[in-house]
Amino acid sequence: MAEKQGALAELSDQLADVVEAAGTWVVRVDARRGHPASGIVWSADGRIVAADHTLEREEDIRVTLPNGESHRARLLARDPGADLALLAVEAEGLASPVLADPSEVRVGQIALALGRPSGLMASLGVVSALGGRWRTATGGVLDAYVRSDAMLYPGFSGGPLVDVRGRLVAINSWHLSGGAGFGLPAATAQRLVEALASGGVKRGYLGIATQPVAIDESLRARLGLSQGRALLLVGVEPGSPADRAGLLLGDVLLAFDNAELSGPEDLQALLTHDRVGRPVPIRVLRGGQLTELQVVPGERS
Amino acid sequence: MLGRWSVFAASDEAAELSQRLLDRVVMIRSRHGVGSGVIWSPSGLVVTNSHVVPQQEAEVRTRSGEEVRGTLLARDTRRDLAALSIPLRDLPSVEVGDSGSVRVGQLVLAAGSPFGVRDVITAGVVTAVGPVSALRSPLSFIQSDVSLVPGNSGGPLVDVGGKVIGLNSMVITPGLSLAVPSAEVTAFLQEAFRPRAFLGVRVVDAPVGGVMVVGVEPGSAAERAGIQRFDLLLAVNDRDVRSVGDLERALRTSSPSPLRVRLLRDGRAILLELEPDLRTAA
Repeated sequence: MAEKQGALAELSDQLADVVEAAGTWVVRVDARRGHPASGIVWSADGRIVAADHTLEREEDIRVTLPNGESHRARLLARDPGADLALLAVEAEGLASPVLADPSEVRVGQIALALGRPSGLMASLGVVSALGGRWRTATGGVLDAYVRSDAMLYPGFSGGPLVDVRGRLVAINSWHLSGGAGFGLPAATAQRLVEALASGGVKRGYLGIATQPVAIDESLRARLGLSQGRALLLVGVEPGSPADRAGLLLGDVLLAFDNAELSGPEDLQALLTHDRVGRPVPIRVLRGGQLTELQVVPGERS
Repeated sequence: MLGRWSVFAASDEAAELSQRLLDRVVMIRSRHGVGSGVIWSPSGLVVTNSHVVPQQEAEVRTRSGEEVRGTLLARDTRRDLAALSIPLRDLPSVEVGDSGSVRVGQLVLAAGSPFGVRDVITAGVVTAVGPVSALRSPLSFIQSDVSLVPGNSGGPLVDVGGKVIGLNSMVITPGLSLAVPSAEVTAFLQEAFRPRAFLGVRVVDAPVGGVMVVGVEPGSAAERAGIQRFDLLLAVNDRDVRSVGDLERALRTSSPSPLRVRLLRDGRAILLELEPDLRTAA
């Protein structure tokens, strides 16, 4: 029942062509244990854009280019509110995307979501909605969003939504949406990336390394805690704001500025520029007892 | 790029393709539940997933409404494939595509009986091709974003030319469906229907190494050659046999006749030459 080459076959070939072409600027980003994510080459000289929530560590970040080369990546800047981060790898002559003109993006147009958690992956859908100003789950305020029904698979965060010409429509970030396919429009992303690159989005800094831990049920009952998870301090940099505040290795960080912490991303979202240089209350579990301390976040250089 | 009218043409073509595909798909009902199958040959060969037909028989319903009994010919649990025979002739059958040249992003259609609802088509694109890390298995799959549910298992995944590139076999996360590549189906059928050397012994792995004969089929090649119960098989055609799996591999891959079998009986090594029977597994 094979069929002669028709409009459907042409459409199918073109979709595969789009994936192949756009796939040349979609990279793999390894910055959390066991769960690689995706990223987009932003410039030929090695600037990479990723989804901030996929960076659970700031050191030892690796980016795998479409040709299979694995590079150590430097974290240049991050913006948890917009779920955006800017990385740099030592590479040249990389392919990078053409951005879709926001005025040409229309509800109902065909779109493909791409990711490279292992090999290149793609899913098909349409642009479902275009929206204006909104507040993200991580507290950022953005001027627009693109919503699509293309499936976002694990590891697609930081990858692109592209149109049928292979142009970048949005950066996928299901973290912002709590499940559905939400993305940061390309033009918004470009403005934010420029701000990140010029240091316009400053971030607070504590000088700690953390990992999430579960809090024992009996301990929770005894101390009257509602939260089931918190952040264990596995490293405190000497002379850092955390060190000056008296934080110790083995402390369990429960809350920062009265907001409960259950994962590193919670803390990252709270280390905003307005908290730099002023004392912020923190709640710590130390030796089975609750301790209240104050820390003065420094500025990340 | 496609012109304005091409979208209408593409849509019409997809509708036609769907109708012709559904004629080549059957619904399979067993005590286990409902699945789908693909009519692989006009003479009644149906291919499906092994898990769709847990027993030796299943009810098969064609699109034209004929309900017949399907008999299991062969199964491969590793690949999750099974071949059934149905007593119907001159059936519309599928053409098999090249699963090796599938591209990420190309359009695909799936047909089957999701939750027992007959004649359902879903469409999507190829998401990825290759092993799935979450399964910790080296088997390759065609992964797609077509929406599938139980009941779709064993149905075809086709390209826009209507050629079968895979057999839908599982959903790994909602919206990520895995199909066994058509090349694996072809390999399964070739293995199932190729005549193989057949000894006529029942064997178990011996704790001391080698393979212990625990039964000899009357009239079989083994009996004719004088193989006895409790013989310990050591080698076939000079290939060491340390397990039942080794023996099966040796019989599958050696040129069928004659076979040189080295065995141990009452502490003495014996070399037998025998003319095996040829049988197909199916």
